[in-house]
Amino acid sequence: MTQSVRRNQAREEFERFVADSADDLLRTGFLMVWDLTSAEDLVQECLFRIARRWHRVRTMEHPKAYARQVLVNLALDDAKRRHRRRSELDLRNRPAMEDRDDQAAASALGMVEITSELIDALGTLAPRQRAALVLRYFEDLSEAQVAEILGCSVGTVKSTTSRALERLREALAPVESGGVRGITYTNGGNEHD
Amino acid sequence: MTEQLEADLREALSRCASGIPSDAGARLRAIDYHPRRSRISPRLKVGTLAGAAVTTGTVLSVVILGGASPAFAGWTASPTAASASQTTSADASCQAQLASLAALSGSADGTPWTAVATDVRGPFTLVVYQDGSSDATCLSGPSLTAVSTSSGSRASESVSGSASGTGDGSGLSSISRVAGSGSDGIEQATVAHLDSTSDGAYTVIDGQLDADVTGVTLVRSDGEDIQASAGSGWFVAWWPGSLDATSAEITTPGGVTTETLNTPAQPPLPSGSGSGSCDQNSPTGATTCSGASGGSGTGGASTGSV
Repeated sequence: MTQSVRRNQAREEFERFVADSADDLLRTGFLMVWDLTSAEDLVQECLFRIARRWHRVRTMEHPKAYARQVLVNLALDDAKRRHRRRSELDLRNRPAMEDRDDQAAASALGMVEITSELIDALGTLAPRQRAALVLRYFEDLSEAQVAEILGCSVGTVKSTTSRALERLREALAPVESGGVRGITYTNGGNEHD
Repeated sequence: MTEQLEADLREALSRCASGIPSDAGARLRAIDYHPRRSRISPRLKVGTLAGAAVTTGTVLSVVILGGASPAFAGWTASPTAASASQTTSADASCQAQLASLAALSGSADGTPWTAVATDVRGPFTLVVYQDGSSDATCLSGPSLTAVSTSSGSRASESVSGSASGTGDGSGLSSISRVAGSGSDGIEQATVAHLDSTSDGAYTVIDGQLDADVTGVTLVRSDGEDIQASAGSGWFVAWWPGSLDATSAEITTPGGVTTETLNTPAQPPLPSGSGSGSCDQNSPTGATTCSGASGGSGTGGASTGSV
């Protein structure tokens, strides 16, 4: 097989990889940086990097997992550079929940309210905390897998996740005047106002 | 309760992600992720990364020679420590030359050049610059300041160079392509052969590295090891003469590997020509070069292909 043919094959493989993974990477990126434009930029940079390393990435057992790791690290690096956004992320690009087709059904279950509050609260987390939650609860990765991606120990993942969840609980706790926050998490489960 | 919070969190994340407009993903899928990196003149690049596209860019170079001195006296095979004054002085000279070159080509847009790699060998400082869309290298020393820039798109490329100097001849010597064995470490590499009458021929090689590479040693065709400056994803080295590097020893935390570097026959430019240009035709890879007089150098033209 000529070098040219091998190159073309590798390129076609990469294009299939992009077609299969771009949406997933974008979702993960968006949930991490909370801004669609920034997420697109990060995924684009991620895929450029993967393209440059494709000769090696293509031989990996899970190229998509590697791409996700690159993306997460890019997002965290980006957050460091723009740390002023850590505590006050731009929520304007958040997808409008009101437009969801199943809004009515969800509303009947109180889900829209809960989801909206949670999304707002997620935006207040530190990037690394949000990354841990996204990887654990959106990507459904194990603590060990999250630790590998974040380059830390499983214990650190546990503590980061725990602190993030605690912060969400605090953010979602009812305010004194009542009526603003919609949900309280107690040992007995969630209670709606 | 934690389980309920976790369940609601999954729901919130899922709903939030599902609301991303579909055209955002389409935009990402439509991008060509194999653009040719614009590179440095007077040379054409062949990426060592498998699948790297052969594309083109515009390259201009200027070589300004100073007074006569022993050829590259003080050059060392390993990078040396640089004083702040040396790198500052080199950067000032290079930035001035880059500005002149941009004005000459009519491409000045005010974008600052950022140094991405610096290599110091005795009194000589070689700096690799980027400005977002273009690359540049600048070699400065007691006897010369040589600047080259490169930019282009994947679709088409023309490579051209020009040189002027106070010596009795200076400028482009030849264009080379470096193809690696495709192993890990060096993502892409390019080599340039330049010539100046005051100091003679010299060869510059640079490239991009995988993130885990900590060192690169180039093995020249005469067997001499040339230690490159490596860091921040780049490596760069140069040496007097026109010998090519035949392999690179790449150091990573996992050990040292050797990558073979293949430099095809070069399309020669006239010796001592002050300016020249090359076009690389994608996808054939054929390279056509021509030289013309410039500055005080001699003129001429030639054509070759690789």
